[in-house]
Amino acid sequence: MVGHHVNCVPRSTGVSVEPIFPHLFRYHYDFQTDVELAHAIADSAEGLGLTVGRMTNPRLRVDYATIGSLHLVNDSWDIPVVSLSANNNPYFYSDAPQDQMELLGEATRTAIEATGRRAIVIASNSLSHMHWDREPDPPEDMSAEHIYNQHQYQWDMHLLEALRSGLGPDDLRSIISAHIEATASETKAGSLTWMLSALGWPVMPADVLAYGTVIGTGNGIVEWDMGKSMIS
Amino acid sequence: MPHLTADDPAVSWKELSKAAIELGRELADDVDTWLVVSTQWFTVLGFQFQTAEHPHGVHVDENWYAYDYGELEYDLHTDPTLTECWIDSTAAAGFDVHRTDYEGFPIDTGTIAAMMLLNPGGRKPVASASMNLYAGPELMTTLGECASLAAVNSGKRIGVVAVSGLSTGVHQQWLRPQDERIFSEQHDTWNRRILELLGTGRVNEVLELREQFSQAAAADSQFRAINFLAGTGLLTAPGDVRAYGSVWGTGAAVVHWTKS
Repeated sequence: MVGHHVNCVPRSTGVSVEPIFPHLFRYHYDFQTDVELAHAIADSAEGLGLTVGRMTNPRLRVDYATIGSLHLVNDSWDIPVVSLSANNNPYFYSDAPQDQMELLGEATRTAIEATGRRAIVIASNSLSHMHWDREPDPPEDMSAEHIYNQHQYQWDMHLLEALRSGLGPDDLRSIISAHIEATASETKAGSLTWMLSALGWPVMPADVLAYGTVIGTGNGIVEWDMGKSMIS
Repeated sequence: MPHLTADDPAVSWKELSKAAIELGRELADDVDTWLVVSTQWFTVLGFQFQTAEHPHGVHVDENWYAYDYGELEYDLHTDPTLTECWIDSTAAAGFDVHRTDYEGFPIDTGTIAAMMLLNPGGRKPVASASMNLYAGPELMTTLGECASLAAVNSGKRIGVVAVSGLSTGVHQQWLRPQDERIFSEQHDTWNRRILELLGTGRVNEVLELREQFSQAAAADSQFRAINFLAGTGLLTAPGDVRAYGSVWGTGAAVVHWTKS
């Protein structure tokens, strides 16, 4: 709500119960924070004029999207984490300003470079975000799982093709913005923009590893392998 | 907003808090159960109803964790009879309903803060439901009608609490309490206009202006809380505007209706 928050708690433990799907997601988490990098990002963000909150309260519940993403990427939880909030209201009446998330991405990149970390940068958000207002019984009923409508699907494909084709930052910004307008995309909250900014808006083809729907929303797993970029 | 429970409040927080506490005291003997809808408990699939018997613990707010008011102890007792009646009436109205009974479930800041002020110590039981993020105003009206029907069916005297806000422009800096001020003059003007209408019993005009208010002042959850309250049938008399002020720039008020 105010500023950008950086989790600076050395060890985050607790139970993350997802408020909207508590029947599907209740996770006991226990992970280490890279505190030096967390503070470096906070310092860098403040240096760029952003309002920052250094979250040091160990009793704060870590959100399900952070936990879910980390579980999928590294379920051994043996790599320290820095988690950041997205200060952006992704819902009604948001005009989706992305400028602060661009700056936060810059701050993230600067801090990673300054601390010499080898980091994986993860953004969690859906693509098209129109979805069903009823849940099938059981929720895993795959006969009920498909894209909300063809319009949403086509726009998701348009965005993924753009990412695959390795466009430059101006083109990508424009397509991300158009995709938000067309699909109520969760990228409106700025995670994708933050990640691309943290990666320095790489002009390289992204690797689209998967695409699928969740209660009608579009979702992709997309990778930018910066190591591969440097080798080539 | 949890600021109303602050140890060192801004003037406006203190006035809002005082109004809510006094209202809670006035109503305590006339209420069997507090029936709560909070815009901060938002869902996307139908409506969720809290059915855990005794939600309690310490809630740390995601934004205000660094302040004394960002860490809230809560001790709530659910009214199972009223809640089940509300679930039944809401399901009968055609909504997707979900019972929520999970250890560690994150009770929202709005519900906790409101109950701390109106219902200290958790003396009276609570029935609470989520606010569907995408439910149109007409659906929120129906949820209010279902709440009213549940009160009749359960025989409970309810105190209806809509935890919401007016304008939602938030200052993007960390403020000291003495720096508290409304986000903009435009938001202040809109808030006062809405409160004037509510205070003179012109709820229908507020309902007509709701969308415009939402656009102009980024009203909390498109101000659909007023539709919910209207649906309960309780807004038949002029509202008693007990306090108005800002909370980190947002517009906040305590308004009470006694059914005529």
